[in-house]
Amino acid sequence: MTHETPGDNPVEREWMLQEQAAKAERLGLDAHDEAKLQSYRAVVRVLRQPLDRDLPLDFASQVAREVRRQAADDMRLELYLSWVLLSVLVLALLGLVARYSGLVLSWFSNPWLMALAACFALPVLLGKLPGFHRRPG
Amino acid sequence: MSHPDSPLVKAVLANAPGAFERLVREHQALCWHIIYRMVRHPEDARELCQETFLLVHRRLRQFRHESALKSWIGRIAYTVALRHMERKRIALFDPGQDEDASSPIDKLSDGFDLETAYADSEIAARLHQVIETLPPLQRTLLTLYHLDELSIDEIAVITGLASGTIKSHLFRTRLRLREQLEVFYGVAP
Repeated sequence: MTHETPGDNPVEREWMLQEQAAKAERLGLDAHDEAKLQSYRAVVRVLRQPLDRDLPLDFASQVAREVRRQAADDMRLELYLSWVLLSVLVLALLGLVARYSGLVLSWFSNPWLMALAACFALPVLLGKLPGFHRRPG
Repeated sequence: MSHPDSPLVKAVLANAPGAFERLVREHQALCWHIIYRMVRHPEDARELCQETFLLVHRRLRQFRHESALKSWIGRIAYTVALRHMERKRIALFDPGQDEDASSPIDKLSDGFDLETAYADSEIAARLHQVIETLPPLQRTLLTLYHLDELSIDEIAVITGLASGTIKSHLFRTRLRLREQLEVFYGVAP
């Protein structure tokens, strides 16, 4: 406990006795010690006994299940929020189309713009078709 | 990383099947000892243990291997128990109890018969009763040191207390228990 010589200090001597008792019980040494040490060993032996209650045997699996349940709840919330965001974007797009319908119609009436759009859209649409995949090599 | 906890931590973070359950199984005894010793109410203690491991799962990415995983989880369990006790206004330790704790050394005698002590399980039961009446902090420190066989340094990480404070608590409490033991035996001081 302090930095004095163990023999000089009664508190230090007592502490060392306690530690000696703890070590003897931990190592399961034979009990042929002096009476004072034996009394500490009796105390330590009681302190090393298991607690009167314990967690249920399936505690770990219960907690793991709860973690999975909470993760699934979080995932559901994320999915719900994604749908809400997507709906807002679609509505905004529709609003823009309605607001600038004249401009959009002029784009559709321009054949060159329509051809350009078809050039982009056609490969994408063809790629979605089943069995229409580029062969390697 | 060569830390022995790394594979398990990585497996939990990668959501490997059964990894978190294994982590709980490996550390639930320590968690239970800390919380049950502090709180004493089995149902509350069980719920707080669950809360501890949910926090562990949520915060595992913040674990930096600065201490052993065991100590890190123990620290969370201790904090959860402490918060519960603050909510319930339960005192962690009795500050007045230590005042006359140095005197028992002089009162104790050497006349103690170990054979009789071990033969008498009633004495053990009575010592358990005395342990139950100890303040939560002392109870917990004794259990961590003797039952879980943690070092003073590991207990310091878990409780946030200085090593000297832990030693002082251990010393005074064991002295008190020894005194009680000899009182049961009717050994004259």
